[in-house]
This record gives sequence, C-alpha cells and structure tokens, in this order.
Amino acid sequence: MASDGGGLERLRRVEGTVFDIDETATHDGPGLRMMVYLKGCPLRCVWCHSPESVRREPEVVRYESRCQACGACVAACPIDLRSIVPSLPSHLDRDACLRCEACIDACDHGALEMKGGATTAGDIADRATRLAPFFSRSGGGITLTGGEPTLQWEFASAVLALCDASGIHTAVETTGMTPWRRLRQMAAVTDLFLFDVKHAHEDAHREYTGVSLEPILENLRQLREMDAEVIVRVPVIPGCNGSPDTIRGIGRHARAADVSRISLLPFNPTASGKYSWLQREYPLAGVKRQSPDEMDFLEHLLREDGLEVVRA
Amino acid sequence: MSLSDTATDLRRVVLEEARPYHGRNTLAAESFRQTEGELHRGRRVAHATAHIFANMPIRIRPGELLVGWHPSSTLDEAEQQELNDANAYLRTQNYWVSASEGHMGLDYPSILGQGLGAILERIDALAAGLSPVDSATPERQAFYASARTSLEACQALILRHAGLARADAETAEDEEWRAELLRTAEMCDRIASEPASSFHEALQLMWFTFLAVAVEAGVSHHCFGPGRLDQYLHPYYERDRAAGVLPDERLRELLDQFAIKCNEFDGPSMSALIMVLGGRKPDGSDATNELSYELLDSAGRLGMYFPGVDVSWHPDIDPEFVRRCVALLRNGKGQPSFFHSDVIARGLVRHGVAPEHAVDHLPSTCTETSVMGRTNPWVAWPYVNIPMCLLYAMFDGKHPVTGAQDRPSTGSPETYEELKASFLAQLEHATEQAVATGLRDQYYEELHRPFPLLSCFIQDCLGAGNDISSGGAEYNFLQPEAVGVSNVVDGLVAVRTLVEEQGRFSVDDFRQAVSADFEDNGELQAAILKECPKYGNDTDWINALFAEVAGAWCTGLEKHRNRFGGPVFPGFLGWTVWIGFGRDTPATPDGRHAGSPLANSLAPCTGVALKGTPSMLLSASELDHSRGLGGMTFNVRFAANALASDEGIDRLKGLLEAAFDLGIYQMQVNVVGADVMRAAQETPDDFADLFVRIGGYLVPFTLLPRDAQDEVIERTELEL
Repeated sequence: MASDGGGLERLRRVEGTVFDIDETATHDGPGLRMMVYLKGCPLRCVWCHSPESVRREPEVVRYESRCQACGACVAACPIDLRSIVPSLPSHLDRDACLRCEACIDACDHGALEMKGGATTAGDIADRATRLAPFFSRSGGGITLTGGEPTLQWEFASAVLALCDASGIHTAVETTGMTPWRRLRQMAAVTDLFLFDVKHAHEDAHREYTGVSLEPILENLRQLREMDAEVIVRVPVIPGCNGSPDTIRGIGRHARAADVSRISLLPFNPTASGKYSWLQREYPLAGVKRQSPDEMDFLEHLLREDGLEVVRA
Repeated sequence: MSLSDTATDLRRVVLEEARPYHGRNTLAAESFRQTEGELHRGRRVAHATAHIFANMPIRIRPGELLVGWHPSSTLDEAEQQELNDANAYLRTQNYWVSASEGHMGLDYPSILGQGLGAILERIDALAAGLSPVDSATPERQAFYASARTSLEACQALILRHAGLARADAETAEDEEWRAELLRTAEMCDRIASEPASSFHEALQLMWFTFLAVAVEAGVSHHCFGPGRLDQYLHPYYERDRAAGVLPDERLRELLDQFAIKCNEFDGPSMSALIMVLGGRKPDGSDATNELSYELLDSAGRLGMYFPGVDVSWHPDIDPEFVRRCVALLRNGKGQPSFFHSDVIARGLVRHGVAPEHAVDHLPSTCTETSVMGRTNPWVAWPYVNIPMCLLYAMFDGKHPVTGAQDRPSTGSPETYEELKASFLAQLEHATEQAVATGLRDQYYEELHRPFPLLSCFIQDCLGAGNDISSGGAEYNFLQPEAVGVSNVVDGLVAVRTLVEEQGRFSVDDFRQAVSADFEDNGELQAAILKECPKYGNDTDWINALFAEVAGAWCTGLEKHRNRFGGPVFPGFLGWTVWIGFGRDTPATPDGRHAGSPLANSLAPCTGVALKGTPSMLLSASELDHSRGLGGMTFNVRFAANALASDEGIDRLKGLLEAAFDLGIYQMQVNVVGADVMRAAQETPDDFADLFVRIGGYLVPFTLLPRDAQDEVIERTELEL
C-alpha cells in the first residue's frame, strides 16, 4: 500500500458489515469482478432478490435442505428465542437475537449460518489487490453492492478509495436512495455506477419499493452533472414494472438525467430459495419469468427511444 | 461447416463398434508358442508383432479416405475360451501390458519426412557397421534384427491394405468410390516405403504407424498420442494448399475422418489420446497456424471423446486462437484443457532437455510430461499416499489401525513442530520407496517387455542400438505421483491451530481421534472442520506450509535418477487414485473420515468452503509448478450462461491468462450446465463446491430447496 502520510492507513481501519464476497463474478461491471455484498438496504422491494441483505445487522439463516429439525439450536439459545425451526412452536425472533452464534455452534448439520460479519476496508482492499492479475487480464475490478452500499458510505468510500489508489477499476451498484453528499463522495473514487431505477411513476415506486422515486432521480441527475459514468438498470418484474409503458417511462427518466446506457435484468424467480433461509414467504411466488422474446421487445422499445441497451 | 454425410455415418458406426482388440492376444500367444526356444526377448516379441500384423483382420469402411482399422473384438464363447487360454499362457511368458507404457508421441517428422524404407535402410547400415569385437555388439545385433522384423511387418501391413483396396475396387459399384479405392491402393503401395508426398499421405502414414505401435503394445491405444499434429503436418498442409490440391472440403473431411478413427480403440474410458495445439516453435515463436484452427474446428464439429484437445498456452500465443478454444468449451464436453507451455519447458530445460526439444512437450494423456518423438516418459508410477505418511509420522511408523510397524520409527511427536519433522522424515522415506519401485519396474520391463517397432520411431533408439525399454530413447523419465497433499496441509494446519496456538487439544487427542475414525471425538472433528483455516483460501502461512510440503516431495525425488540415468519428475496427479487410496486410508487429522476420498491433485480438500477460484489458484501457485512435471490438474467451474456472449468468452480467457500469469501448470474448465446440476441433485455431497448465481451472487446449489434448484436448471436450459 502506497504511503500518503497516513490517510490511506486510516481508511484501512474503517469497519463495515459484509455478508459475502464473490471473487469471479461475470456480471455487474466489465471483466471479472470481485463482488462485495454490503449489508443493509433502505428499500423494501416486493421482488427483492436478496432478502438476507436487507437488515443492516448480521442475521442467522437456516438451510432447509440440511436441517434435521433436531432442536439442538433451540436448546442452545441462551435467551430462549425458542425455535428457528418452523416445525417447532415459534420462529427465531431476529429482532431480539443477540448474534451469540450458540445455535450455529450447536448445529451438527451445517444448517445454520451467520450472514454478515465485521470486516475492515483494508482487508477488502488487500483481497482486491491479490486479485489484480485477474482484473488486469479481463478488464475487471471491484464492485460494491448489497443491500445498498451507500448505507455504509464511510466504509464503502474507504474501500473504493483504497482500490482506486491501487489502480483497480471500481464500480458501485446502488438504488440511488441516499443523501446526495454520500454519493458525491463515493463518485470521486468510482469508475462506474450501476444505478437502479425501478419504476417510472412515483406512486407505483412507493408501492413496490417503499420509498419515493424523486430523490433517486435527483441523485441520478446530479451524478451525471458530475460526469460520472452511469448505467441505469431495471429489474423487470412482471405485474409490477414490466409493461412497455413503464419501461419506456424509466427510459425517459434516464434520458432526462442525461444517461444514455440502460440495462434490463429479467425477473429471476429463483430468489424464492433464499426466502426459505429466512423462513419467509416469497411475495412473488408463482410469478413466471419473461420469455427472451418479451425482453427483446422491451429492449427494442428502449433503442427506439434513443437509448443504448447494454448487458451489465 | 457441418459434418459430411460420410463422416456422420462413420462417426455413428465407429461409436457403435469401438472396443479393444482382444484377438491380438490370441495371435500373440500363437506366435509365442512357436518361439519358445528363442534366446532374445526382442526377437521373440518382433515375431509376435509380425504374426499379429499378418493375420489381424483388415477392412475399409464405405467412404473412408483414411484406412487402417483397429479391429474390435466381439467374441463368441469358443473364442473367449481361446482368448482366456492365450492370456493365461502369455502371463507365463511374462508378456504383459503395464500402464506406464505408451503415453508418448512418435517421431512423426522423421517417419513422414524419410519414409519407412529409409528407416529400414538405416537399420541395415547400422547393423552392418557394428564392430564384431565390440562388447555391446551381440545385443545390438539382436536389437537391430528385432527392429528390422517389426518394421518390415509394419510395411507388410500397409501393403495388405493396398491389396484390400484393389480387391474392394473390383466389386465397387460407385465409380467415384472405385476411383477413391484405387487412389488408396496406390497411396499404400507408395507410403509402405516412401516418405509422404502430400497432406493425405502424411495423415495416412501417421495413422498407420500410430495404429501399429498401439497394436504392438496391446489391445487398445495405450495412451499413445498424436501430439502436435498442427506442427508436423503443417509442411504438407502448406505445400498442398499452395499447389491448390487440398480444397477446404477435402481437408476437413480428412481431419474429421482422422479424429473419428482415434475413437476406434475404445469407448469413453479412463484413458486418453491427446492432440496438442498451439505452443511454441523451436525458435521460440508462436506455433499456432491455420491447421491449429482447422483441427480445433474439427473437434468442435465432432464432439467426440477422442482425441482429447490440449492447448499449449504461452504469453505470445495468437489471442484469437485462445478465444476460439474458450468458445469450444461452450459445448460442455470439457475440451480443450490448457497447459502453460513455458512452465513445462522451463522445468524440462532444468532437467537437461535441450531448449529446442523442450518446447515440443506433450502431456502424456493426463498431465504428465513427455517430449515428442524422443522420450520414454514412464508416467504416473508409482502413486504415493501422502496422508499415510502423516499418519505414520503420528504413530512412530506404525499403522494407526492395525498397529503394524510398516514404516521406519520416527518417534511419537507431542508438538506441532515434532509432528512436522516426523512427517517430513516419513515423506523422505516414501520418496525413496517410490524411486525404488520405479527402478524395479523399469528393470523388469527391460527384461520382458521390449518394443522393437516403437524403438524404430523414437529418437534415437536406432542410433543407440538399444530398445526403448532398455533406455534407448534420448530422454528417459520416471514420474511418481503424490496423492493427498492437501489433506496433509490441512491436517498440519489443524494441529498447529488447535494444539500449538489454542492449546485446546493435544497431539494425543488427534491420535485417538484418527484411530477411532472420530468416534467419540466429535468435538475435535467439529473444531477441525469448522474453526481451522484451510489450504486453498490464500492465507499466507498456509500457502507457505503447502509449498513446504509439496516442495519436500519434489526435493526428495529430484535428487534421484531413474534406471536409465534420466531425471525423476515429481507429480501431483490424482487420476482416479485419490478415490481408491481414500478407501484404504484411515481417518486423517484434517477431519476426513476413514474411507473418504483424498484430495484430488493440488485442489483443496473436498468440502472446504472456498473464497473463490482466484484464491485457490493463488494458494497453489506458491509452489513452483515447473518442478511438478509429473503433472497436476486444476479444475475450475464456469457457468454455461456466462459463456453465452463474446464478453463472457473474454472473461474466461482472462481468468485462464491470469492463472497462467501466476505460473499455474494446467487449467481445465467445467462448464456447468443443466446436466451437472441434475447430477448435483442426485448426489449433493459430491457437489458441495457447485455454486450458482441467484440475485447477483453465488450460492451453493445444494443449499437451495429442490424447487429453487429446478428453477435454476430451467433457467440454464433457456440460456438466460
């Protein structure tokens, strides 16, 4: 790590909560990506693909396929949260959980795991530096995602600054739902934003995501004013935002903010599996994915409206 | 371009009929019964080979442009009985096939460029030049006689095909086919003694000699490899293309028919027959050429098990060719695999191989090293169970279960450092035993198993007047393989962590646990499996420990020479032995249960939670892979849908290149499609390291509920 009189050294010590790292992602930015998943999200999208990312704190998940319902976890819990096993009387109360991990230690079947743990920006940056040969050969780099990375903005900015100082390409995947000054700070050390716009209309946006669209679009506009590189991304959810009108509306918002590149992500019903980890019902159970033809049609409409459609 | 109708038919028929040629052994026994009084082993073997070549069935399938059939045996009861008798008799005559035979490429540039007639003349000239009073003359004379008999028999086999083609032409109804048969007859007449004068002749003569040395060795292909086809065929390709006599369609038909023929020996099996593409020329420049592309495309059109396609990668290789190789992986057949040519060449040069020869390496089927046309590689023998060395180190040389004093006493260690020192002493002993086994078997092969025909085609047995089994080749190797290195590393890591650092357990606790297969030691096993760090996650001190253990295996072998004065190459090839050894290995300190498989090659132990492919490769790269010429394998998985686009191909290409930048020896890519996931649903324990991407990031496939797994499979099939 280059010496700069101690500033970078201080950044290395900034702590954050990360629930996963993937060393060779092939999505979410160019080349091979090191994906860092930051915990916590201010949105409550009904289609959320990563329900285990929403809560800011670490939380216990349970893998149904391994659980033998033996009850050892229940017996081990020091504050008597009773059961995280649905077949037993009551579920784990994640709000009350102290995260002592006694239940995880007690499980002989590897069915319980803590999603999320404390780490430092320096540890993440060191890992990224080790992976530099893979980035340089593939044109890749690091991508911070979540959850919503701006929720841990000091940690995220520190990681990005450290990687940027080592010449590593940096990307951030964001919902855009954050105070502008945080995004502005991160923009100085971010090479590419993958910026989600999830609906075209304020009311529907509130209904499906729980938050207002306005501040998101305002942040998008300001990012572009700074000349940040931005790709707008839309998770296309049948019955929520998948109509041609809505998609074109999102495209208009993008163009109004001076964004020329847009990427459509097809609905992915496989997320239901992760809801079972949290003993929650999947709100979109039974919704089918679009056909490739439907996606092609929506992409075609966006191109007609003057946008460049990319796979990112 | 798709397969021709002829190639399509041949492909189907060959796949149906392919099997070993057991009738060969019946013929060999007939001959051996006739030569019981023969004093010289080589002459006796040559007689048997000639008897086989003269009597083996030959045929030309409709539409075949390349002839020379590897007969497939379907035996009736009487023939089976005859074969059983023959095999029983041959055993009494010590005429066997060992797994270390074959595994090499012939000196095709000489075969094609000089012709068999010139080689025969050379034998005669060399025999005539022997001094009658030289002490080595008697065995040389006998060797030349055996070589002469064998080579003449090979020529006669080619001429039999000329006769058959003429006979078939007489009854052929189709004019075009009749003309083709007559061309074949003339070609066989010529190449029985003349050098190849066209691309077609070069391929045909290559095939005849390939087939002949395989039949000399035994009932199948014995892992002989066509090797660097794109190099030794290129002069003929270039000449014919420049002369305008080798149109695309003809070229592709020939290449396709050649590849189909490589499947005549056997169906998909635990063996291989390898062609090597790319690499460097002797002057160091990139060797990739148009023929490399054509051979790769042919492999893509055919999608057959043989020949295996290995790409010899180096930093200066044509990037577009690598892109095409990566794109071929899309078909999910695991071809090609990639070797770091410069790492292998560097190792060979260190062991005294001339630099211009070192670039001419070929993997001897799996990943062991051979040099085209001038090597007796003696691959993959013996395999050594490295975790057993750790167990013997824990128990003072005694077996942890039987208590038998199988190995030297090295004390009863109580600390991590004592254990490591005892292990290194046991490992040293095991390397000596490995070399001793190799020396013994090389000696017995020399006594009983000469290969006079093969010796005509390997530099420079003829010049040396010495059969390849007696060290006649220019380069002689011996390549023992270490199996289960990662288990030892994780075991030592566990002892250091739990005994030395934390003081929670003693070495005695480990001894008790492994002798009782962790029965009543669940707490220790859980601590090992859940709390101890593992090899494969790029942890500095574990990387260093791995390099020390793997390096000790190398150092132990590198100081010895094989029977013929050549080097001993350390290897880390697991082949299928990691499973078989595992069955006989008691529980090990890495938490592995008795009977479970050992770790495969230098991969992390089964079931270890890994950070990712880059970390795994970074860990393994701590060892200088140019020391591991006995071979090693690195499997990486890549999602089928991530390869669908050009960007995806560049990403995987980048992954391979980055691995090679780290000095990784070899990479093979398993493209994960729906078939793999279905297998994982059936046996989840075997696929703990199978990850799929959900909601952006990777999750272990086997941790998903069944309905979600089905969704993923459906998505994969739709290539979303």
